Amino acid sequence: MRSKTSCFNGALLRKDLCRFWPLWCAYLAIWLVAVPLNQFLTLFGISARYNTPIQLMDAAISNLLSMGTEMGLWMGLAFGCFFAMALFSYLCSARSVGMMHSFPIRREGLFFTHYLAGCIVFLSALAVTGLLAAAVQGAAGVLEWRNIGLWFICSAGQMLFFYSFAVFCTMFTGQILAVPVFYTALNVVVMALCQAVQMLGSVFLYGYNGGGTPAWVRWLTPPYQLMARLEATGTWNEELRCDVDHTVTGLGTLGVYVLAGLVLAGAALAVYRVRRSETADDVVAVSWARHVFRFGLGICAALTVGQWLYYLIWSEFFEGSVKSPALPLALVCMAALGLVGFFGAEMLLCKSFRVLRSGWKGAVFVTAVVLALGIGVGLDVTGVETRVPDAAAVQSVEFSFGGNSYISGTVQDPETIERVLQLHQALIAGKEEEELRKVRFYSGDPDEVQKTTGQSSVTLTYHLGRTQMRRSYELFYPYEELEDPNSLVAQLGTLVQEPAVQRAVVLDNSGLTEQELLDQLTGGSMTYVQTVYSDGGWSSSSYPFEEKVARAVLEAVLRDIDAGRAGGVMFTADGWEQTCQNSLEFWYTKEDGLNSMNIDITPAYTETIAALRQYGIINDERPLLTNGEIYTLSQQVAEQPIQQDNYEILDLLRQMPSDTEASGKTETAVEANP
Amino acid sequence: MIEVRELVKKFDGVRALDGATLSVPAGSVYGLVGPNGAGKSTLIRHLTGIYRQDGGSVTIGGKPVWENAALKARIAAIPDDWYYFLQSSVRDMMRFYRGFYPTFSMERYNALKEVFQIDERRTIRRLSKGMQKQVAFWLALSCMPDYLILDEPVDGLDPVMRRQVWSLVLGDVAQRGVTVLISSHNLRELEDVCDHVGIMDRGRVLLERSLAQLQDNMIKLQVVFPEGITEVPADLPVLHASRVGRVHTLIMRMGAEEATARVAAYHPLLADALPLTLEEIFIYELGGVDYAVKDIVL
Repeated sequence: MRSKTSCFNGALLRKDLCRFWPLWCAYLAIWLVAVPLNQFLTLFGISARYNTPIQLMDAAISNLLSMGTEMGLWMGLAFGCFFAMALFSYLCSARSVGMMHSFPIRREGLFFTHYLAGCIVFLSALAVTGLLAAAVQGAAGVLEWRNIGLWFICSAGQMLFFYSFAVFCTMFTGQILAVPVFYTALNVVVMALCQAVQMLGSVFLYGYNGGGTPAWVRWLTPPYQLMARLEATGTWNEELRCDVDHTVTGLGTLGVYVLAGLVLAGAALAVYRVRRSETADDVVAVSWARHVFRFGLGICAALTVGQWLYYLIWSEFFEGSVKSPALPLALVCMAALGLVGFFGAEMLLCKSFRVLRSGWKGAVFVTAVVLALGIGVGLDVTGVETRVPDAAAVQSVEFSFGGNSYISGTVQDPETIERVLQLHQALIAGKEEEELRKVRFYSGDPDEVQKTTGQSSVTLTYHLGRTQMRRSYELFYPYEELEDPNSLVAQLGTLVQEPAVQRAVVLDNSGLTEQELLDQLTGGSMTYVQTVYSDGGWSSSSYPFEEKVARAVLEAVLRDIDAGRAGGVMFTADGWEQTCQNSLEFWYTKEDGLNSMNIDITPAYTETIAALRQYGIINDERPLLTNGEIYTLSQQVAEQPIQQDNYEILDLLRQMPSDTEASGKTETAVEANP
Repeated sequence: MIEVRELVKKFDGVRALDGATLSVPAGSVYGLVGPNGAGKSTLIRHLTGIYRQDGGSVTIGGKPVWENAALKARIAAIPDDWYYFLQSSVRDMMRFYRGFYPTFSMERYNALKEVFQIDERRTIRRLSKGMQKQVAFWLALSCMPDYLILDEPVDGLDPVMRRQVWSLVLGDVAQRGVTVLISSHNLRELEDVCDHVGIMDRGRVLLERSLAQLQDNMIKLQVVFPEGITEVPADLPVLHASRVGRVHTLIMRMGAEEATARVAAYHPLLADALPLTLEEIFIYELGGVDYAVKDIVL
């Protein structure tokens, strides 16, 4: 007698392949448009007329690899779910599950055959697509099997993972429409919960601004991780004017997810074996998962929709008028939405609206958890607000300071780290006062408040070996406090002017050491105002300078920084007016090609200005002007009777009473008829 | 032989099967009857390996059914709501079944084509309910099973086709020793084809016997008592009594001779013993467990 009772069934496989052919064809068709057709248009279309063969090859390979990394992700996400829904749809109907499970084949056989059908379809579709793409590339004489292989690995790997994940999700439900819901939710739930908890903390905890996204959260959010890690790259070749050495980074990450996909397939089989046939039509088909569903939905609803409701009410009725966020209001909103989530889940599970009596114990539990979480965070039971890391444990500090401008960088020297920690301590000590000032700032007359009060921000991220700690503060200060060395803003101002901090700002922009930056400079440019219009606006242009000049100017900038001339106007009332409109741009090369960075200067950068003047970068045609001076000029031009539409800056400057360069804001007179 | 011992199945805490026990002798035609919700379909789904029991055992030929592919290859089942793929024709489904059942006989399939006279290229979805049922029989019988498990199998079939189908089933029983278990509410029909009967109620099998034993064990007496006796004497063990004029109809759980002898003590003017139909046995047996036809005045 023939044996047809193994773990695989050919008839079932053939049925799967024939039954869902529209879905398989749709998957193949999309890939055919995205890859072979796209390759054909790139290599034989209009761009072939004006690009060199190497550039065409670059465009074709870039397209191909980005299709594998980016489109492969979206195709995997969408079709992985569709494939699983189609192949395992029989689990969602009592009739179909009855037929399938009465056949002489074990659950393993059914699972393996259906799972294999999905794999065969997407692997075949990708193979056909790859072969056609190879044919197109071959016809154009740019065939590279390695890149087609990379595309195939990226597309197939992502599809395998998402398909397996969707199959895993399918095993937990007996409702076909619940599959995409569960699948989507499980793809993002960890990230969403992490963000929700951090958002809750950042509302109630002074200085807490989330802890970033921990690595395990990123790994448990596959679309995010793959989007961030899996990337098609190339190296810019200046001579060829295109990218060469194309490759894909993040293949290790993809490998991890492929393995995870296989593990999920195994886990799905294990769930399938314990899943009961009678659960077809149930929202959750596995008994222990029903508890996870009802409590999970309650807590998720509390943390997400509950918080949203709180923000809605808070922003409409309380924001700006109350010193601290209203914890009781937040608790009420979160508990209410937690109950809505819990009873909603209960209704879905019980297929009945009458769940209040049977679910009251669970409701009490959800409420207790939400309240405990809310109170724990709101009252800072873990001491997050007052936590300052030990100086010895800090490897580096990433800082961002906002005021009249925004600067960021990373410092590693213990002395500067110690000063940052002192500032951090002072910020914690000033909590009460800062919260009062914040209320006054937002509740006062905006025009009046902004004349007398400055606003700045401090964000610190401590790197503590394998972990990191992040805090963020807002400062509201009367401008006269800048004169008081003990005030928070004065301490912040002093830190900002530290050469180590300012050097970190410059080097953080480039990601290079000082010597590397100087060695790899290729040139630079300076922006300057060219024309002032009668409507009060102006246009600018840039003046380039060569490598040696750029090096000399950058060295002058560094000397000004070392002399403490940088950052002096960051928090002053007239800081913006005192900043020069002339911004410096430096160009340098790195492994990934040509890069640039910008440095804003003020009239206090005396050495820099001298160097710019020495090399003729600043002259009468390209004057050094602060924003305040430009603003004054444009205002005066706007007040003139309209005789011409624009005024060359040179003409305007000739009419000015004196040279104001390097002397800060100056009253500038403009004649009535320039 | 099909053996079910102390079978328990719970749905959301409700015991759909509560220690059901039955045994179907090899080569017999076993009728499983019971009121709605008694657990017949649930029990059948255990026999076909769809449900896993919470307690007890389900064996066929001494082997457990659950996840026993080799055993299930010898079982063909027709559920009350037979499933087919929406786009499939009879021929498609035949190929599908043939891929699962090693004993599937194309010879028999072709022979049955003449019996059912359905175009095998037609989409099953477009067939009438009765024709779909015929297709189910066509495929199940083509699998050449040793065990045939049928849940409300002739619902929707016309009388001619019913006879045809029963003739095919009984032919298999006679020629190949197929064991058949049928769940049905059509007791008159079961009476014609079954040689064993089990009565289920509330998740348990109340009794199971051969049809002959069942009929020998219960009797219907039509009695006319002499003047002066207007009510049925209290010492007679009567399951059910009714009266039309002076004629009393008594249902008693005993043999015909014993019942006639017990009534003879009252010198009846007339005492006539009649056999019960399966439907009457079903009604009066369940009357003892509070499932009688109630005289309700609306």
